[in-house]
Amino acid sequence: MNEPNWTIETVQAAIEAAQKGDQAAFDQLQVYLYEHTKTALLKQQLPADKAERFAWDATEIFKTKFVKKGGAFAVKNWKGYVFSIARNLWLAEQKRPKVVQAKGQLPDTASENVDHLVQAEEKQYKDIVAEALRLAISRLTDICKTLYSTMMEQDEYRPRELTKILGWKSARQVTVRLDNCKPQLKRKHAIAIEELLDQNNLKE
Amino acid sequence: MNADTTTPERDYTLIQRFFDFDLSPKELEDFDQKVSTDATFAKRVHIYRQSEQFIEQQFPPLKEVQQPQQRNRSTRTALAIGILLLIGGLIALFFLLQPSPGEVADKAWYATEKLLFDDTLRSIQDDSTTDNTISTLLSEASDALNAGDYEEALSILTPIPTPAAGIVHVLRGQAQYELGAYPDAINNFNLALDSPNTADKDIVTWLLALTYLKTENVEAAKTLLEQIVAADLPKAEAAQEILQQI
Repeated sequence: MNEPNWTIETVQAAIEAAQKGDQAAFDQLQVYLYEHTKTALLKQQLPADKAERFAWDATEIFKTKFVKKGGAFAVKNWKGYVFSIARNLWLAEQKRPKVVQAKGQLPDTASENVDHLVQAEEKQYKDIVAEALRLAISRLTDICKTLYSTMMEQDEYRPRELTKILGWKSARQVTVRLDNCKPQLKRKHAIAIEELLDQNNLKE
Repeated sequence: MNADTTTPERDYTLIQRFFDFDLSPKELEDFDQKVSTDATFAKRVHIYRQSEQFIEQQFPPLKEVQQPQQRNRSTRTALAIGILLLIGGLIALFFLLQPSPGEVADKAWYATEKLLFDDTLRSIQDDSTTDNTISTLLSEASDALNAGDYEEALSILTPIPTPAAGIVHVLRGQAQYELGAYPDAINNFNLALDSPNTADKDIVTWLLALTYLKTENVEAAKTLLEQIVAADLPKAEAAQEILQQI
């Protein structure tokens, strides 16, 4: 397939082709969006490895959301939007929350200090993220809470089995409700992470 | 918006819309500005993205599991009878290949993202929703609608006094469609379209068209679908596909 001259219009045309199921157009577009985003980030003076990482992340987000929504968007400037995602991920990472380590957990030698702190912080952050999930589920609206609690407690993720356990009408009802509840869970989870981080850091 | 007037829920809702490619060009511009200038908001962008990745890992999209088939003598007999019936049925099936308008409507309905009350946009949606009581009710109704609890959503929305904001009629209409109260849904979508402050009127027109289709009022549905196609609105392509089927 010949490489098109990429403009806002040709990107839009590739999106429309992808919406109709043209996988080749979609793949070509993804490659272009990655390269364009990476180049734009390099112009913002990001180191090459970070430019690649954030361009990759942004393109993966585009791919996931595009597939999930079946390409039903009102975006006009895709290049700009994907770049905005990459750029904002980079800016957000610079403001990422720090997990304060408890006193007495610091190693004795300075040479171990940095690696140990990073590992301890990462582990503590992971623990907070996991704990936040439990908290978030407890705060969902009733049907969502029932669904996610059941999945976690029963360790069951198959729609047909969940239908039986929950006594719902059909497996479709399970999948539709799961789709509808997930955005709520993500927001509640993020809020819970923030609360737990604040609590953790206030203890020190 | 400065950090004192935003709530975490409001920020995370906006951030979610950002990562869902739902922001308009102006909203995107404001969002970029906010990330650059508001450290708390930038931190929340990072947290949300981490949360989203974690949730998707913990709860990947569900797949149906096929049940294993158990064959025995009675199953083979049933299979033979079934094949004979199938041959006769194929003839009848030829005439039944076209989905009914209701089936077409349902398929399109469930592929459409629901329109929900968004507290971050309440000044755009309607001035009357700046009343905190109403906006709280609308948020609760939206949550219930989003969770599939349609009776609950309607019980919250029904007491809201008229004349109501456009979004109230949109939410009522969606809940009523799900509950099979199609004439009421049609009435509410029409009220939403008549209201000067309803956002996303093109989507409301689409929902109204689907509801007409569901009630087999094909002519009314066609009129609206043709309007959507002619104006090249966001649902134009889907509308064109339906027009080819009905």
